[in-house]
Amino acid sequence: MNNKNKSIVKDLKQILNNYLTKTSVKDFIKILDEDISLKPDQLPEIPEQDKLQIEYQLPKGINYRIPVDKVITYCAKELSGEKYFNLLLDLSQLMLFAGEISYSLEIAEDLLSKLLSNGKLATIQAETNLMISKIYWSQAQWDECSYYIDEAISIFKSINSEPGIAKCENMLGTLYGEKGDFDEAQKHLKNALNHLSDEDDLSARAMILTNLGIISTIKGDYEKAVWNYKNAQVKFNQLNDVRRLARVYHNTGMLYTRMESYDAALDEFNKCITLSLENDYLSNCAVAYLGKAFIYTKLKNPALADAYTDKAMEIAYKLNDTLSIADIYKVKGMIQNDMSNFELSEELFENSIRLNKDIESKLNEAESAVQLGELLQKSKREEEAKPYLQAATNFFNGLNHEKIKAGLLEQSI
Amino acid sequence: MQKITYSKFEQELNKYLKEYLADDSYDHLKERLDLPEKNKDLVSKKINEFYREQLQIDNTPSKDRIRVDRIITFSEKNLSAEKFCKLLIDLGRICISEGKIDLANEIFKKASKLTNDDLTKAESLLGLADVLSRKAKWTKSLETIFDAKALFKSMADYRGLAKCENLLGTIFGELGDISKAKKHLLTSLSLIKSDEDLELAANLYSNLGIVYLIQESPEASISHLNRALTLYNKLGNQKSTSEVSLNIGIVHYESDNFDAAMVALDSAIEVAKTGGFLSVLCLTYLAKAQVLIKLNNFSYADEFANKALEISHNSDDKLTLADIYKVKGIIARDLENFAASETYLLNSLRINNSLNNELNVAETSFELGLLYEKMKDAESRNIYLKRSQNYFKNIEANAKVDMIEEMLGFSTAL
Repeated sequence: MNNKNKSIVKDLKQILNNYLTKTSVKDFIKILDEDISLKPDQLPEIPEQDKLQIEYQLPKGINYRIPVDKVITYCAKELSGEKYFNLLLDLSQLMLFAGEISYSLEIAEDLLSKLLSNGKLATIQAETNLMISKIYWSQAQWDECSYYIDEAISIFKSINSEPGIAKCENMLGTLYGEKGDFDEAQKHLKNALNHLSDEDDLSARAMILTNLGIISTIKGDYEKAVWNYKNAQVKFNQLNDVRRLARVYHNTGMLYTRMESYDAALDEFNKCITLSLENDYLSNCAVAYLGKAFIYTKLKNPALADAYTDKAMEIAYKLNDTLSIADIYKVKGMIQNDMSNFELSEELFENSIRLNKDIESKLNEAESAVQLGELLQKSKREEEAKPYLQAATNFFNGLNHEKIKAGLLEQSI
Repeated sequence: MQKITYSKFEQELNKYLKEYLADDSYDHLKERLDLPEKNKDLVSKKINEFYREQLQIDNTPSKDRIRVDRIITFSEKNLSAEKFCKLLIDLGRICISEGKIDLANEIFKKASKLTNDDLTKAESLLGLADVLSRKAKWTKSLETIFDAKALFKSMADYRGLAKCENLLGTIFGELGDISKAKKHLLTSLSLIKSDEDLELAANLYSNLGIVYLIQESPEASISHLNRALTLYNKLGNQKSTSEVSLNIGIVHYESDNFDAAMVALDSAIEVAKTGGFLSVLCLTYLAKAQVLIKLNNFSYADEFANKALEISHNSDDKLTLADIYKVKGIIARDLENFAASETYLLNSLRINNSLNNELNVAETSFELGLLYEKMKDAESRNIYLKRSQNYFKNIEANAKVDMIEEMLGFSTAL
C-alpha cells in the first residue's frame, strides 16, 4: 500500500510483532502492503461526468468553520435568545449536511447546554436533542442516538407537540431501519404519519414518505416505493429543499439498482451527486458514489468502480460514516472478486462483515455474508461457506423477502 | 471596489443570516465576513522556502483507516479473545498519538465491550477517557477515569492508578486548575518507580514542566522538561521528543528568549513532520506563530496560524482551535485591523468559555483588554483586564497579576 504516513505503518508493524508469530506477521504484512486499489494506469478512458466526480476535491472544513464561528460570535450579541438559538440549530444542520460532523455536534451540544441553563424554550430544546440524535445516527453510534431521541420525545410529549413527536417517530424508524429491523422501522414511520394532521409540516411528511419508500424498496414493494419517492420529490421541490431532494434521487437510484435497471439508476445517482457537489453537501456523496461503484461492478467496469469506491472511502472517512465504510469494503471485495484476486476479496468481505457486526447493521452484515459465502463456494470451500450463507438465509427469511439483490445503503432522512 | 464572488456555501450562509438579522446588522456582519483575510488554499507566495517546506504535510487518513481495519479483522480471526482486546488497546493508543480520535474511540469501545479481563477493561476505559478529554468532554472523561481507577484499585495495580492520576493532572491542567493538576501529577509520580517506568516518568516530568511554566517558574520547568527529554531520547520516542522540544520552545518564548525558542520549535517541527505527528505539529505551528509575532513578522505568523487552524479543525481539537483564534486576534490587532481582531478574540473567548477552560479564558480576556486599550475603549478594557487578573490571582501567577495591576493603575491615572 502506498502509504505516505511512515510512522503509523512502523508502529502498527511493531504492535503486530508483539501479538503474532514472526511468520504470521511477515505473511500478513505482505498482504497488507498490497494496495487494495487498482493502479491508476488500469483506468480506461473515463466519461467526462465520471471524471469530474472522481476528481472532486473535498472542501476544506476550516473554510466553513471560520465564517460560521464569526457568525456565532457576532449574532450572540445581535439576536434575542430564541432567535439566536434557532440560528444555532440551523447552523448545526447546515454543518451536518456539509459533512462537518464534529463541528455540527459542537454547535448542537453548546446550544443544548445554553438551553438547559435557560430552562425555557422546550421546543428548541427538543429539536436540539433530535439534531444530536441525527448526528450520532450518521456515525452509527446507536446508543447515543437512541438516548437523544428519547430525550426529545419526552420533551415534545410534555408540550403536546404532535409534529415534534412525528419527527421523533421518523427518527426511530430510521434508527431501526439502519439496524435491519424493518418491521419495527415501518411501525414507527407509520406512527409518525399518524401524528401529523393534513395541514402539518410538509417537510416532515416528505421525510417520512422517503423513509417509508426505503422500507418498501427493501421489502420488494417497488411500486409503493416509486409512489413514495415521487410524492416526496414533489414536496421537496415545492419547499426548494435541494439537500433532501438529492437524497430522494439517491434512494430512487437504489430502487432502480435493486430492480437491475442500471441505466436509470445511474441517472438518479448522477442527479444526486450533481446537486450535492454543486452545493458541497458532502453527507449525500459517499453513498451515491458507492451506488455508482456498485453498478459499475455489475457493468463489468472494475477500474471505474474502484475509482468510485476510493473516492467514497475518502468522503466516508471524513464523515466518520462507519456504515458506508463497511459497505465500501464489500464493493471493493466484489471488484477484487471480479479481478480474480480471491484472497484479497475474501479479506475485504471479512472486513465488511466485522464492521457491520460491530455496528449491529444486520442487513448489511447478511449481504456481505452472502458475498463471502459465494466466494468460498466458488473456491470449493463449501464447509467454510456454510455458516455465512446460513446466517444470511436466516436473516432474509426473517425479513420475509427473497434475497435482496443490490444491498447498498439507502439514505434515510 | 473589488467585486466579491460568493461560493455556494457562503450564499447559503448569507441566506440564513438575512432571515435572522436586521438589515443593518446583516450588512455589518457581512462586511466582517468579507474582510480580506480569507483562508488561502495554498501557502502564500510571499513566504520563504524554509517556512514553506515546514508547512507542507502529506496526509492520507483514509488509507490509514483501511490499514487499521484490516489489522483488526485479521487479528480478530487469529488471536484469542483476550489477546485481541490487548491488541485493540495498543491500536487505540497509536490512533490517539496519530490524532485519529474517532477511530481510537471506536477501537477502545470495542475492546471495552469484548473483554472479560479487569485489567484490559480498565485500560480500555482509560483509553476512552483520554479520547473524551481530547474532545473536551470533561465530565464524561472524568467519570470514565473514575471507573478505570476503581478497577485498577481493586487489582492493587499502582501503575494503572498512576496513569489515571496523570490523565487527571492533564485534564485539570487543561481546565486551568493548576494546583489540582500539580497535585494529581505528583500523586502519580509517587505511585511509580521512576527509574524503572521510564515512559510514564517522562510523561509526568513533561506535564510537570508545563505546570511550572504556568506557575512562572521557568527554571523548574526547563529542568523537568530536560529530564523528560533525556528519558524519551533513551526510549527512542520521537513523538514525545518533539512534544518536549515544543514545550521547551514555549518556555523560552515566555522568557522572551526568542532565538532559543525558534531553535527548539524548528527542531520540534522537523521531528514531528518526519514522523507525521499532526497534533504536535499543530501546536508547534501555533507556538511558532507566537514567536514570529514577537519578531514583528506578522504575515509569516499568520501562515503558521492558518495551517495550525486547519489541522486543529480536522482533528476536532477545540482547545487548540480557541488558542489559534486568540493568536489570529493578536496578529490582526498588531496590524491595527481592530474589527477582525475583536471577532477572533471573541471567538476564542466564546469557545474557551464553553469548554470551561479558565486559563485560556483569562489569557484571551487579557488580550481583549489590550485590544480595547488600543481602541481607546476604557470601560471594556477594564472589564476584561480585571476578569483576567482575578484568575491569575487564584493561581498565584504574581508577575502577571502585577503587570495587569500596573495597566489598570495607569488607566485610572488617565
